[in-house]
Amino acid sequence: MVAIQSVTKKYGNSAKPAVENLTLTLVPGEIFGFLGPNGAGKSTTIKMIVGLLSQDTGTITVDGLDTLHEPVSVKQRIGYVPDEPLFYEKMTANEYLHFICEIYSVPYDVRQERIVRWAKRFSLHGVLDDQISSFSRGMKQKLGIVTALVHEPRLLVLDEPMVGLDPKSAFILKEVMHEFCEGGRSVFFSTHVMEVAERLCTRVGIIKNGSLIACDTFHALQERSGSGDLSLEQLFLELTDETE
Amino acid sequence: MLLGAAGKGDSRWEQFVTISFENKKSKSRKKSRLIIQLLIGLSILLAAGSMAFMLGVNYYQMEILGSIVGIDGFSWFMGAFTAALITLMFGMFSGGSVLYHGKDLPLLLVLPLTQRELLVSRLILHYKANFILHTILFLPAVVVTILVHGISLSIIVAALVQIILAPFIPLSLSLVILHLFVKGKKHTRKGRESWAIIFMLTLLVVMQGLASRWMQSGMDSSNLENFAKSFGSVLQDMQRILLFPKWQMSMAIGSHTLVNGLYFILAVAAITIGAIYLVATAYGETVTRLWETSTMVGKHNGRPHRSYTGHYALEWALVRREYAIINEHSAFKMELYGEAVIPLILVIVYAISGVMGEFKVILEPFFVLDIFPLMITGALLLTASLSMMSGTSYSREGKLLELSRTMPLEGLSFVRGKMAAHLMLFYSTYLIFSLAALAIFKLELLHALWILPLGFFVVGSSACFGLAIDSRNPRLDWKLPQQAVKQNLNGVASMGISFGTIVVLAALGYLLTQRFGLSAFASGLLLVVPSACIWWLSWKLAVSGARTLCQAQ
Repeated sequence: MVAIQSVTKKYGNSAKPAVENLTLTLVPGEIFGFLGPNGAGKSTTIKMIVGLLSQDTGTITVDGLDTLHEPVSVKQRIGYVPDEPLFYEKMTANEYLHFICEIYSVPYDVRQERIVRWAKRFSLHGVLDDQISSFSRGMKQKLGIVTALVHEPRLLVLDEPMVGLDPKSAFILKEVMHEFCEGGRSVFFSTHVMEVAERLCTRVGIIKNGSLIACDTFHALQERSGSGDLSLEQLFLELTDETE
Repeated sequence: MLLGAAGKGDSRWEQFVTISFENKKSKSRKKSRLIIQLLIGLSILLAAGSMAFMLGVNYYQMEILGSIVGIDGFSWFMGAFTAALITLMFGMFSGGSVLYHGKDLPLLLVLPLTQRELLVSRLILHYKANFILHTILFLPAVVVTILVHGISLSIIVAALVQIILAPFIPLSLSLVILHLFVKGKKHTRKGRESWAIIFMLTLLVVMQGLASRWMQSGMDSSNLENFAKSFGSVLQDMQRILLFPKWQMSMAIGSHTLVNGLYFILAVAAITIGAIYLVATAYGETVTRLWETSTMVGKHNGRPHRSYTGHYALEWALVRREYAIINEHSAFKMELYGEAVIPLILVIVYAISGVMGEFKVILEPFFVLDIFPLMITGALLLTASLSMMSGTSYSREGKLLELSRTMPLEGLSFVRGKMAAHLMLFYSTYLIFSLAALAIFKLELLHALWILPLGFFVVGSSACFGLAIDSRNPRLDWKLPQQAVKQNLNGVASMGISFGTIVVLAALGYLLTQRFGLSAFASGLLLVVPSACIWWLSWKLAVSGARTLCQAQ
């Protein structure tokens, strides 16, 4: 589904790359959790996958399509939830979702059904005709998730999706992520909530200072550490040397 | 303390400093920005000076008119009336924001403040926000009165008292109107502000139209005598009915200055106390209710959304997006809709007030010239092309540009959407202007065959050049929306290129008619060809710029 091959990205004249020689693959039907301390390179990697940033070296493909050479086709396959939700705030949620459907060429006859279905799932149905500017941070986050899902992408890329969500919505999102992958589609998401990653992810990748330091299933990571009962949080702290 | 905090957050000076010194990294950029700020400052002073001068001329005419119909100090009366009327309009606009919809109100509502403390601080802010405007509008009348009647103690005292106290009248009225608005069940901020903007624009344009009319007639007293004959009784009735400006006038000029001054002060006190009492009855509850209802659920949620589904549905969606971005900030709305609509309203006002007829008389010697249709088209093209709309289009998106860049669209689609939005606003007004010009100047309809396509290509290339410039270096890091439009050099550069395009076409038109002896019609038709070439070039530049902007960076 996603293949990142020897990718390096440097910002401006910075001496140290934000992401260095990163290689990882994401198979269909997989939920991949991308973990790392602040400034480790998670958001940079995500922005390269969704086509906002270009890598200096290496290649990234989504469904076999190169992100730099076929950006439009790649974007068409991705549903992206950024860390900070961005909207045209003077539109109503309904107008905005119809606009997104138009941009992603969602057939007109299925739009309304999809919008209402996803809005109901995230309890936004009652505010669809309200201006987005009147939404709280959590409501905006939920609208961002609905926006990413409404065009039925092949890959869901989420940057810190749990931020601002109430417990019920966070639970629904986890359910949705599972259902999404059942049909052979994949989820790539970054998070700081280790419990979520531990319970939800098929595999996790841990990035530190721009380099991938671990990438496997939770149980394989436990075995590799030599202690079978460590939580992901403890493993993360051990691997990133942040226990002291 | 509350005033200090609000002043810090809302200070125009702070905003000016933010604009001027935000970029400390680049010295050359800082220097050029300072020069621009200086130029803008000088322009503001020049505009304020010319406005004061124009008001002064108008008040002077009123003074002469008053003396013809037997009213001494009529300029003072009109100055007081004009200042009160315009302050009322602006007060309605700013009062709502300060008293009921201030962005800091949610923060203040949770602080241990009494309703009275909050209200008093907001009322002082309301006064502070409108005091200077009132003074600028009123002072020219004082100057005219001193010039005509000479300086006296009563004039000085009256001027000082009225500068301080007179704003209380329109501001108290604005409080009452606002109170009635917010008490209404269907009140929305958008609705109230829309009405205030419509009132304000109409009033400004009407005043501009009337002022221009007075400027046209100059100091010709015979004209004023005719006017006095026709409207003398109306002016006397006005002076009798409008008690506040009458007391204000009689406080400075006349034999009962003290008595009239007392009337004025007592009436101001009464109206102010009454208005504050009305607002104070339920200020806290009203503010809380407005904030609660601002997030209320709509009644028909989830209803099917009607939208165009034809061949150009994508472009139409992008056009709607473009206007959604403009509507995000009132600074964008005022700048861009104003650029497109104000000339149109002015033409209507000029036509109604008769100034248009005078323009026609001035232009009559040119009517006989064969190149007249080309001249008029050139002027119309200048009106339609000199705009900030496309030159700041990507910059206006600010942070939202990242959202655009995640969309699965080619740069070409964005250019199509943005150009269509530009044409809808500016080519449509050009169409109205050019058809009106054909009718007013009785030009042959056949000229429309070249005037309309020429306009399309010139306005279109103005849009594309603007997009091409802005896509290469968009100003996205703005803190105030004004920085994306008014303070954006991309907009100025795109206007410069549009101006250059029209100059080139005008030179070609001159060559065709004067050197080659072609008729205006033939020259106009031929000019469509180079304008189409310029548009094609600008289109290519705009698309390549958009493509670069959409690429991963």
